[in-house]
Amino acid sequence: MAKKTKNKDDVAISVKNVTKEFIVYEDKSYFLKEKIGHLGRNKKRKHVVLKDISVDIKRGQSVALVGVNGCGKSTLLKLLNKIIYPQKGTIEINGKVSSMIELGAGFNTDFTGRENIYFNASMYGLGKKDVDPIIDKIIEFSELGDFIESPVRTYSSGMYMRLAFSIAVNVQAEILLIDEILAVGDAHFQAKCLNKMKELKAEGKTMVFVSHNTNQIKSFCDRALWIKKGEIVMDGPTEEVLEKYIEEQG
Amino acid sequence: MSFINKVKEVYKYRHMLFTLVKQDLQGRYKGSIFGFLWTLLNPLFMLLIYSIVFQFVFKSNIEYYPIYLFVSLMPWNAFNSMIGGGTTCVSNNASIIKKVYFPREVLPLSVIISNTIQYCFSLVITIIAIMVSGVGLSFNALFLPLIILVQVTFAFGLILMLSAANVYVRDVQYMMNPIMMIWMYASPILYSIQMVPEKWLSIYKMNPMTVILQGYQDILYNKTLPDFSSLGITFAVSIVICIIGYMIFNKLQKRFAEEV
Repeated sequence: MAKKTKNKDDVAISVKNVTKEFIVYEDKSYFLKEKIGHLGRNKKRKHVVLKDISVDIKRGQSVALVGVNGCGKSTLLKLLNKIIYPQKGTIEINGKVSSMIELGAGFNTDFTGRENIYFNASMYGLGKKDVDPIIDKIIEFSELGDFIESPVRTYSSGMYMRLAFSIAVNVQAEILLIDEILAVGDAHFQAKCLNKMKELKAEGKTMVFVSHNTNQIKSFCDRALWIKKGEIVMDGPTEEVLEKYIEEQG
Repeated sequence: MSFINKVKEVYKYRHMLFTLVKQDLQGRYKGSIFGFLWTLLNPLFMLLIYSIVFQFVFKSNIEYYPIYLFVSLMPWNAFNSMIGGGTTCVSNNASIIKKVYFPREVLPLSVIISNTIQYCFSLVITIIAIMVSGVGLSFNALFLPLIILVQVTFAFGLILMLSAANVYVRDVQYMMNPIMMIWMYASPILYSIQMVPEKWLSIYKMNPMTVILQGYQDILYNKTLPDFSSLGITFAVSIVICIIGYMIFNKLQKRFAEEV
């Protein structure tokens, strides 16, 4: 952290003093009647998920976020992906983001696998011309074979995830945000995914990785952030952080 | 994010926009036999019923009443489905909003574009009907794109507000049903503006849809030039509504993923 004069191009993700609060409704009201009925009653409270977080992630770095459930890891990932916005602080992202927060989120299940590849890729800003050269690679990686011409609603959950993963890793993003998704498919496909992730890492992609699987984290993250109750309590080499973290977990 | 950057970003996501439009047009009638034909059959049935009811039961004295209806009801139907689809376009896409980043403006834009395309198809039918019926087409019909532009701009501004508001208060989508029904009868669709009492006329003409529908009636049914000054004012109002709508949408969209 001593280096103050960092070249801006080296930083892929820069988070400065970010605070995120959620308003927790005791029971969520969607309708006006309920909203009026709930007025005056103390039905909502603020829940601070992230407190004044600052972190820089350099280009090409693989960073793991560790911590117990509900500590704010996934919230941070969603903030990085601009799905939600912080109340305070700024987040700067330099580069194209591919999120694997929720795979296959945009699938339209009435359409075929092939059609969904085009649609899903369009969410990453890729047009037909960009997808055409890589579509065979995506289909091959997914191992879906002829099923690619069937509607996605006929897929098993494993097939669904395989297709989604194949798209997400092949869209040529510079930054990958990964949330607990390497539980895709059978052992064979999982191994293939891990290899692909390592390959992407070798290509110099930046990765932020949420996982409870310490072996996975060790195998390809150089740095780990331990988040506890919305604060970063430790930031350093993976081994050291994990050791302390596991120690505290007992 | 500044407006210019927003435009650039939406442009970057143009592929997504086009796919959404394509999916909407293709997916709407997926699995049905007549498919896209339903887009045209539905309004035709509606026209038939209204023509029968108003011509023979209520004895409307408007000349070529079915054509008058055609010219007025088709744009109204398009407006109605733009508002209907637009109001729920954000809340109905909760699953992708919660999980994927994309400029949220893509959703209302896709509703507008796909409905405009459908509308253009139904206009082809309208124009065929005009020619076959003996009313005939004049060069004034060339102003059609101008009036469509005013209508679409107006609808887009409203959709921006309604879709964002509906995320927070679901009543909006249900409120729109009676509102659209009242609005329909407050516009010159089933009857002509000549039947409106003189003393109400100034208020009646403040309805942007009155001006827009009259524009269609002028160029397609009366075969005259449209009232450019009224249309100009309505267009200016529509732009203002778009600007306000954009500001509201932009302000509210930051919490879409949390509220939806």
